[in-house]
Amino acid sequence: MLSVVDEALTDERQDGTRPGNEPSMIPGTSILPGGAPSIARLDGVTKYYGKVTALDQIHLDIRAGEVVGLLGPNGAGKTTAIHLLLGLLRPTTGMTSTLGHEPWSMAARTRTGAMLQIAKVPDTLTVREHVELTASYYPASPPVQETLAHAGLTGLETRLFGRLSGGQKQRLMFALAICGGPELLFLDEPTVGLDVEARRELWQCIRRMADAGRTVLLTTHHLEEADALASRIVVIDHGRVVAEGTPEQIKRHAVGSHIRCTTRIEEATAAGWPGVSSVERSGATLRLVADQAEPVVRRLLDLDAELADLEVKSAGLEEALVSLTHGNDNTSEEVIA
Amino acid sequence: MNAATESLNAPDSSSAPVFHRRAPRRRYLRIFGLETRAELMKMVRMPAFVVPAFAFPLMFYALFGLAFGRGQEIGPVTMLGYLLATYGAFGVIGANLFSFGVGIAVERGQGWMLLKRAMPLPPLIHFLARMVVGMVFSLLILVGLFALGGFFGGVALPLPAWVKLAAWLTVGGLPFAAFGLFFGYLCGPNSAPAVINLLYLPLSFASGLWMPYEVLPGFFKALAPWLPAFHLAQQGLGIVGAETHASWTQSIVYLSAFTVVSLVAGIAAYRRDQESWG
Amino acid sequence: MKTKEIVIAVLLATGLVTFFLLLPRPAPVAQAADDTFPTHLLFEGVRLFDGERLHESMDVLVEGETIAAIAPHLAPPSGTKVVDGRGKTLLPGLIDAHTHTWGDALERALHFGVTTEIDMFTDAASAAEVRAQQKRGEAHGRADLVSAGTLVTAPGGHGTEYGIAIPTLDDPAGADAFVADRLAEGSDFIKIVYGEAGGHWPTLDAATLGAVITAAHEREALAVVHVSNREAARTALDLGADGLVHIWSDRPPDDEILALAAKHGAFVIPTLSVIAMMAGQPNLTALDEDPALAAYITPAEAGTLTQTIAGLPLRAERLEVARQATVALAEAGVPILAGTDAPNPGTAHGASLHGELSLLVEAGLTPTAALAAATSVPARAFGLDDRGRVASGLRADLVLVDGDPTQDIRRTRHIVGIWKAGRAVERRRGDADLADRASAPDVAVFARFDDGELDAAYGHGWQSTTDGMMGGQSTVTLELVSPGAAGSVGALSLRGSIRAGFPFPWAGGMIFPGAEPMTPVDFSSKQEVVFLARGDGASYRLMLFAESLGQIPASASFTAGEVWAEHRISLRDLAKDLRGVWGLAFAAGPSQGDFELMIDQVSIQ
Repeated sequence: MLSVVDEALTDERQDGTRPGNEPSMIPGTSILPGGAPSIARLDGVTKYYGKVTALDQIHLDIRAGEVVGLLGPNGAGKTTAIHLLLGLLRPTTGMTSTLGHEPWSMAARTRTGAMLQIAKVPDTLTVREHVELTASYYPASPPVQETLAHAGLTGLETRLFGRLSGGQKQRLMFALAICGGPELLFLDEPTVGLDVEARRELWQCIRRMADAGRTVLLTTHHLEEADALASRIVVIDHGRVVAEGTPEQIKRHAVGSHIRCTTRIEEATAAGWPGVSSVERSGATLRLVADQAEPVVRRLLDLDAELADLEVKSAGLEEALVSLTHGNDNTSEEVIA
Repeated sequence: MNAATESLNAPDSSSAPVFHRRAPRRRYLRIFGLETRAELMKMVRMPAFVVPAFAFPLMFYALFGLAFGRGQEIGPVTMLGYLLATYGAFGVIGANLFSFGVGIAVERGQGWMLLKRAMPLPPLIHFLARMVVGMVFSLLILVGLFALGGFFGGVALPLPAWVKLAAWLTVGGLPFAAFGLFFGYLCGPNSAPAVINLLYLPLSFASGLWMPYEVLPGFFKALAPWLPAFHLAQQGLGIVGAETHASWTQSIVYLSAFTVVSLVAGIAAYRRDQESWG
Repeated sequence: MKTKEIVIAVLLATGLVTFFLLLPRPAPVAQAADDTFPTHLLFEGVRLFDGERLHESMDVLVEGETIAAIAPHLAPPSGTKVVDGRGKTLLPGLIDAHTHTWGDALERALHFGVTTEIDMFTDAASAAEVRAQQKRGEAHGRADLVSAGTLVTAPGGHGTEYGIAIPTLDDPAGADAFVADRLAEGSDFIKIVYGEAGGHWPTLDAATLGAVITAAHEREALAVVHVSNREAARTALDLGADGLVHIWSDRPPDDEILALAAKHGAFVIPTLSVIAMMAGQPNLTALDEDPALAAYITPAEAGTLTQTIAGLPLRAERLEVARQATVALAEAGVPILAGTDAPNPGTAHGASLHGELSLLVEAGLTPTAALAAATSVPARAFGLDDRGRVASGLRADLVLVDGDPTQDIRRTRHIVGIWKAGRAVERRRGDADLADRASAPDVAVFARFDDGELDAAYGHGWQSTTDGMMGGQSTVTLELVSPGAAGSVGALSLRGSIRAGFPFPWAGGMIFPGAEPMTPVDFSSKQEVVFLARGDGASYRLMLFAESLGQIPASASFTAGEVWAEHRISLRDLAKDLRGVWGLAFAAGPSQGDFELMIDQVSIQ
């Protein structure tokens, strides 16, 4: 099934290699062909929880300076991947490394920061106390005030965690992740449960870190988020990588455009056109899905001058994911079994 | 996977998150200070947790000592002096069980302990800080009890005995911190308070912390010397001048053994907890 | 931030230290006794009787447990507690040379300045325990014990009648082993009971007495002999007895026996207190009415002091004979030792030694000789060389009295202070225990026997009581019978038989008003016992057991006839002090035979 992905990525990867397959002599510092140094990796990692396979022979490389969006539905293995790279879990088989060290080593942990999917930190400590305490764990932490500014928490120093709004709480979690001045930042579903406003504020904070050259691995099933933040997206499902590329590549190659109009053109006619992947009619309305909207729209207008209510929508990552993971159904059943 | 990668990923003690060999000691000292302050502030600002653990021993003492125990004597000491030692033990055990047991279980449930594990915080520093807070909490309870007994209950002891009683109970409460650690990692956040209370209250009774050992029913009399709380209380009783039913050596040996068993069980539960988080 | 935290920490630490400093500590008096012992104690300008003679004004310095120095003027080391001795007399701690130390005898004795009791028979095991505690220095709150342990007597002889099993001796052949056993048990000396053949009690024969004395001497133990008549005394002295523990009181002394005693260097403990009782004059010197003593005498002691032995034929002339003999012996140079035979009827531990001193003086001894008889003389006689005198290096067993007992012997009763081994003795008032004593409940009806249970309105319920505890043979069965008196459901039936075996046989039903058997209850609010009785026409007794009656109950008799009849018995007539009632009994005896008594509707009102 990975052939689908390969096909989608051919223009980027002429040599056809899959990322993360190279055996590295020095863990975590291997130079990938045509890329920056890898600073964290899962190399052929499988993780079982009892009989359940969370990750299945996965390869993942994080390169210095990039923002990787790890994308997938719930239960895909995103959190497991982050916990492995943070050393909170040990792989069942395979190798993990973070910043050239074992992820659970002090050496790795002093240079990483993490925002995990947790309910809360203690309500009864103030913002400053939380950040100050966490920053003390790190040998090279920036001034607390700077961290607070980065996380948009200036002015809230003396407020108890329990008194913060939802967005402020998440930003404090973010502050805890960055307060040690990490080179590598893990953000596990950073904006889950936030409203649009709060989400955008946190995005800005994340972007600032990315702009400052920090490497970020973020998981989300909120795909707009990956689109907005990531320089590279890795789509995983059922413990396997199912697609990988820039947000544009994923969008463009995975599904294409949705076209809707009121027309007399026959379904069968449209289905024969190049690039059209599906045609569907309900009453007077015809729905098409095409790789590229423009040639199809041109043909539609040419054939039916009376065509009305034309609507063209570029597929979001939601659709991309549905499509990609749908195509993986067979595989996933095997994996789960 | 081949043997090489297996061994690379196998748990390795040299890189486990404990004190590093070339640990920057000053930084660890600062972490310890801030960690202790944070634990203290949490306690100070969380009356819902602190008040019951603080109030129960004082309330029991006021009721069974000040209200009903006046003028009574148990062997060579007054009831009020006697109960000072036993409710002191009761309070100190509670402070440690709740600080370690319930405290850890609840914060594990919230995920904070997981987040801390992802950070370069040596877990030993965290547990030491909790231990200090348990001791401070114990001392506060003892100050409250001593004030009641000394200023309202007519209990008079030589200064060294007051200090010795406070010191013994505060330090002697630490084995129960280890016991709490075990339950903190064994129990879920919701079941922890119930489980710990189910152990704490009956064991306190059976160890003669509520009713003097002398008047315990026969079955409990036979059972008590096998319970750690009994030994904590007995040596406290010795300090206030009451008759004791265990020697210092017996009690120290027993409590040490109890500490070791609790720590081993606690560490096992801690390890298990690390492995089960996904 | 940093400084703020340091300031807070310092403030908290200071607060904690202050708190601990403010916590109450034991009163300094108690602390002085506990913490600052050994202490220096100086009696300044005190009249001193050193056990042998009087010194008008002396300074006596005590260091720790020991008398350190005696001189007209001493410069005390700093920190010395000074006791003003002007107008007072310092005596060695008193020694009672004839006692039986059951129960709290030693504690009681110390309250009256008796720091050593020489015991003529007690339970050997408990004596051993007491000795062990003395050796460990754990006997501060009571008098020291020097004890014969088990006495030597013939099977069934005097000493076997108290209900505790003791070994006895048959013949001379067993004497050595018997003595060895006593010494192995820890006996400090050997006491032998010897009477005249054909007397009230079976007795050892002279040969066996001689063998025991010889055996004791061979084992370097003192052998003292209990005698009650002159010829027995003569035999004992002749056989080498080291001392007689009673004076004879049957016949006046003759020159021969005086010479015999003097020649053998034997000592005599007259025990005039108990002989006065046997002469029908218990408490001859009215100890419980002396204000100087009364406050420290307990109701129980007051009770025993005025008692005589029930059924004992009292012969008034005994006391006069005993006095004559005592003085004659003293004049012949025989050491006289003060001893009380407490706790026999007519005596009490401690208090009676002051009575004995008075009796010795009344008999004709000088007060100084009487004081010596309670201090240096018994110490020397029993080889207690660490006490009995006030001399440097001896144990600081001391009694300070107001006035001069060498002029008026009754001044020994005016005790200002008592020190045992240098430690001040705290004297408890005799009625101290009465304060927290339970009062009898304010209900009149005590038992109706109508609900099928043998119970009572309060107290520990009904128990059978017989002379079996004293070795008697009488029996009794208590059961509920139906119907009871006046149409009631039930009554209590007491059936049994009074048999020979104990001199004063009894059997019946007993009630204890306290929650535990023998716990005294204050019955001051009660006047009389009212009950219905019927029976076989014989005479029965209601017996009252109270502290103020000592060990001997008071009783009133009633006749139980064929028909139910009401009886009212006034408790006030049985005992004037009802504050410590611990038992009531309906009993048959002492006349022998089968009996059958029913009682019902018992009220105590």
